[in-house]
Amino acid sequence: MSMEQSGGEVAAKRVSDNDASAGGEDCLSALPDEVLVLILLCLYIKDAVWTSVLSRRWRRIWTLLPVLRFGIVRDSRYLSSALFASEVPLRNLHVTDRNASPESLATWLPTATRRVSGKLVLVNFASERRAADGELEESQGGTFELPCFETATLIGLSLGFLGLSVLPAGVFARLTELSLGDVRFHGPGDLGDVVSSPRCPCLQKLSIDNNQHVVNISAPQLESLKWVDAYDPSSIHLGSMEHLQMLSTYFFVYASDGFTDNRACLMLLSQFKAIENLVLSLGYLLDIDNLQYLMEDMTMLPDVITSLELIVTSNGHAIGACSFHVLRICSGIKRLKLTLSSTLNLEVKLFAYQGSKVPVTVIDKIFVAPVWDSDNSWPMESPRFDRRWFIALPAAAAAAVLPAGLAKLHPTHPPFIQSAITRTAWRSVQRQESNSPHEQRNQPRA
Amino acid sequence: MAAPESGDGNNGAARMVTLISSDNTRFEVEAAAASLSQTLQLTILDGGGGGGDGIPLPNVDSATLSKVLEYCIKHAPAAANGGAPNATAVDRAELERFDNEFVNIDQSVLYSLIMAAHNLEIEGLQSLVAKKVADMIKGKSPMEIRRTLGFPDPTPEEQAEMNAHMLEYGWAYE
Repeated sequence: MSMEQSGGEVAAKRVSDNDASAGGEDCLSALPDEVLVLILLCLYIKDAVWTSVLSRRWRRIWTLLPVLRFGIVRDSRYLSSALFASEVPLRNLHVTDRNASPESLATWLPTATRRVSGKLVLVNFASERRAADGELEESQGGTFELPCFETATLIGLSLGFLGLSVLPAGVFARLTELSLGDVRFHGPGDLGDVVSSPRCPCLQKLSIDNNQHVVNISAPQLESLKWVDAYDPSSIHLGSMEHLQMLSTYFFVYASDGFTDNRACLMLLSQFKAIENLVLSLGYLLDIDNLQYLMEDMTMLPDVITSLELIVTSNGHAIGACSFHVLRICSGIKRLKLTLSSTLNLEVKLFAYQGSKVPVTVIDKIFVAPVWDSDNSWPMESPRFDRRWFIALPAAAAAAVLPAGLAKLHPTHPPFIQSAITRTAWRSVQRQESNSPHEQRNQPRA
Repeated sequence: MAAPESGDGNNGAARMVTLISSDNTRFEVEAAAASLSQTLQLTILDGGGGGGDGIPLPNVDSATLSKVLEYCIKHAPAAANGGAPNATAVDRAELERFDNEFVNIDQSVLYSLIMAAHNLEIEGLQSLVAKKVADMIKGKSPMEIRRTLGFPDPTPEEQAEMNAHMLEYGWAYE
């Protein structure tokens, strides 16, 4: 652990008051482009663009950025001018919009098709707020055409119920992951056309969240399917998926009678006899006093061959009963991963138990990231996530969940947060809150 | 399964390597720490840097190298732990405290550090310094940035160019 000193003590020269480097020389500008790009990657796009004014040297540095993240865009023309500014392939284009319209999207999406070589994420916020205000089903936003992104590998669209149609020609040749949330497809069969193998030959992961449509999906190459949406086998046909390794869906532990989301979840699950890995999210609303305990509705699950992941959003409630319920049904699993959603970075301390056969991982999850983004330089706060929903899960409750046979746990930190699911949970929480003042609490909703 | 306590688990002697700065100062350091550099890692895996031979680093002077190694030594245990999934909150807080303190230095040292981190491919150090410099830029006007970063005052011609450019990218200045 020792370092032969010599130069050792030279290093830590403290900052005196704001002294620029010696002689007024600008040493920073002497650094190579790729190092300056590293610095700009730590900035918001506006600050990064701002540096173009500094000097000629800096004029084009920001155009070399391989990642562009736009916060709420005031005017979509800025977006298109930024996208036009260079031809550098983008490994990540992340656009958050408010009240996006087909016209505003048309100003930049076609340019984006040329540049995105990695992820494209488009989140349209405002309508979600409208949705929370109860205008959920009114889709007045019009319909826009999604051009073909031939080189994108991941596309995530959360459109706030904008209508979407997809240009009939072109193949999303490199797309392996597609996430669709709050999308209204223009034609009845459009979703199925988009995600099926002729258009997306490499698609491996598909996440469908709250789009409500009729579909016929034929994607035999699919490896992962996340479905947090209406599901009715009479209108939704999932073709054979023999490569499917992972199925992921959401179940509410408590809700009022007639709550349809759980029915969709169970119906979806019933379509699969066996699945290699099952990811089941169990959600609690904040206030469950007058709600029904619904776990008993879950009487069977596909045979889980390898691993079960339970993602429990507890909102402070004890999570033992629901977790045990699932574990009793899934008795043959080889591995259990338990993910506890909370705001606090909990130290989960659990007991080691002798004689365990099933390895368990417990993840104490920080529940704040926006969507589809694992880069940690993205600000970890999102206006949609209101902190009061998150209540720390006491360590004791976590311990109570575990079946007696499970051993030492290894808290880890997930690089990726199950965003689609959490968003849905959120909306449901908000809907439930805003729709059920006290007098309505016990009335079933159709 | 226990995490190695902060890295000085002295089971015998850890393997040491010698690095030689551009001004010929020799630094002896644990191979695990030097291996935070992707560039050095390959050489070290091949058995380089041990015994009498050092690994010459013609692009890094001794002041910078000593600083780089200070970072590597501090971060080596966590890195050996696969990105520290088993680290306790206390360990993580300690590293964070160290990092904050570590980059509280002269700008010229920061720039030498980021160059060295870039050449040696030490990812954590690169992003740490990049973030520090970015923090000096964040939320400032172009003139404030120029002043903070020690740019010479703009010539009238440059000033005119800046103004024109600000118009073009007006959206970023709202």
